[in-house]
Amino acid sequence: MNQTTLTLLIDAGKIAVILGCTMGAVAYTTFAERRFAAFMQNRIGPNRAGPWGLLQPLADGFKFMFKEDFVPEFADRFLYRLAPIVAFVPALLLVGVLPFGPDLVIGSQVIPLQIADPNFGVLYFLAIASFGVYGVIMAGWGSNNKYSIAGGLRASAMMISYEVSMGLAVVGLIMMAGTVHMSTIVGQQDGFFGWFIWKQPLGFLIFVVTTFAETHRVPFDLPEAEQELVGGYNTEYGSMQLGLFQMGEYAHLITASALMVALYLGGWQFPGLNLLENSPILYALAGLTVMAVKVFFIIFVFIWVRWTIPRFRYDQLMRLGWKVLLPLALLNILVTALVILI
Amino acid sequence: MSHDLIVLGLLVLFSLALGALLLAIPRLLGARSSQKGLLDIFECGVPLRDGTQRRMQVRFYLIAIIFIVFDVEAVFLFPWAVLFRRLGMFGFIEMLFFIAVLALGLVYVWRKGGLEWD
Amino acid sequence: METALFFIMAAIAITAGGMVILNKNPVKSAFSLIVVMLALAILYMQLSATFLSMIQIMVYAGAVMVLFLFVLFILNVGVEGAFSSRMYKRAVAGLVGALMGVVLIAAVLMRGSRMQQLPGMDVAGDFGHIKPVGELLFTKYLLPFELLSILLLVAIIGAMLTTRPKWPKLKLPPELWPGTADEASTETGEEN
Repeated sequence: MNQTTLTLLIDAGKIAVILGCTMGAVAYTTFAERRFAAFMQNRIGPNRAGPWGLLQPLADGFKFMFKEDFVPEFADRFLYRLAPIVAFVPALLLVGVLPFGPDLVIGSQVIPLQIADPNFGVLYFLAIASFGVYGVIMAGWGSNNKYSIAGGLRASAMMISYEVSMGLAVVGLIMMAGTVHMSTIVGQQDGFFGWFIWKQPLGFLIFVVTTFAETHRVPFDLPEAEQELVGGYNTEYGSMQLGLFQMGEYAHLITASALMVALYLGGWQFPGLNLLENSPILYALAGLTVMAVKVFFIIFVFIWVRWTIPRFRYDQLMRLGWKVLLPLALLNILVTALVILI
Repeated sequence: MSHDLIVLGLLVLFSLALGALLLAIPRLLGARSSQKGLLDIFECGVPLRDGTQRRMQVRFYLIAIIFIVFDVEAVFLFPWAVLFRRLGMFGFIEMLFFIAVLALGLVYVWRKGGLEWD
Repeated sequence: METALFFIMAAIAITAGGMVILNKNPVKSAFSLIVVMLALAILYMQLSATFLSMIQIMVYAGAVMVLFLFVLFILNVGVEGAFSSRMYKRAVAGLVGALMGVVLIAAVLMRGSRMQQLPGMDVAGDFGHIKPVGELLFTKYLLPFELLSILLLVAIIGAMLTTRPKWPKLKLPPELWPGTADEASTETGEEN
């Protein structure tokens, strides 16, 4: 077996493992969300399936599998069937440029713990993020239901409004880093005060808020505002098709949290971690662990916010997006420029 | 062709396969019923009212246009941000003009009430 | 491998392009156009124009097509509304399309040796990446870049003027105000 084939096989293996881990994390994030919600609302939550209810995600998954698969009579069959895939895949594609840890060295084989490290890393995730809006539009239009269309249009207008600020918030970070290369950005953040959150506090804040909107999390869950729109863009869906939308949302939550960690919170770096640099395998494993812990902390914050803050009204949402976040993002760029120049 | 492109292509294929696999399962295992009303358009417990033949507000169009304009602005800001340290003061001033002109557009829309939702 | 990828992507782009014009449902046409944009992005990537490729996805596939879809939603264009079944219109459209096709094919056939000497065929390793593009943009093409901001400003103002929520106080008699003709007539009706 020559080196090219070996590299390709390793890459395929990495992709499979990372997608598997993401799906596992999706399953247990839904469980964690329900248990935390119960805890915060002083009730018990799902605790019957297996010890402490740990098998609950499996039960949910099996239930999706045995549900009837149908297409409503007035729906556009093709778009209706395609929409769940279009919503699900971009959420997973975000993992493509994320660095998960330092290079793993086994024998003479150097395995970077990152699927791909292209020279357009940050642009890649912005491009994929801009694609997330189509699943919503396609589901809304394909269902041919007034609630779905209204939900789809509202959701897509919200997502594009916040996408602008997200892109502009990242510009400040790129100015600091001087590159769009993901592994370099993580590499620059060694030492606790080297994290970009300290150099870009305003940018980080804007990025967090826009991430909430992009992943449809409360307080930006207007797409699914169940009190006014029934279920929003996925009203007409059932079975695994609905399941794919929900898994897509949780997958997006996880990948977006990982992205936030990589860009602003030092990625897999942690003070004192480079003491392990002499034993590469241990170093890589420790890096992976640090990354995972940080990502789960961010996910916890997302869940915490969900059960703390009520949903915005639509006009408040648009005002926040265009009249607060966009000017702040422009201001952030100017301030960053002045700080660098002086 | 670069190695990155192949790997990202593989990622796309794997993700698509995963989605398709998940969607295929209930087609094999799922219940089969011809329950009355299952295929009807969803409505909250009453006969269907107001179909989908409703026109949407034109302000969504305005939002989409402003979105494109600022997206294009962001596109030009990325190479500028990468080169910022090298361009220095000169780069700062040329981008200041660019941002100022677009901020003017934002202020205009704002003052004219294009961002109000009631 | 590279040639194979080129032909696959070109085939996808042409098929999806055909779907854009052959679909009777305008929303589906718009979705087909997104596929064309994506195929083009991959072709750019293959030409090592990685920055352009990402921008293609972000701006064309991600932003411009959202606008198209919003317009289709707002107008609520149905299948029948968008399609003219008049025979002579189809004939004219077909003729124009055929002419343009002939021009394109002729251009490809006549490229001869000139095409192979285009500047930029021998490019440096990182040509088309974000840094070299920026270097050109902020030095050689600075003036077009600054003028572009004015173009974008015009786009914002134009969109605002065509969609403004409150009608201006025009110096026109009230019955000529756009959109208020009905109210004016009901008011006079009440007076009677």
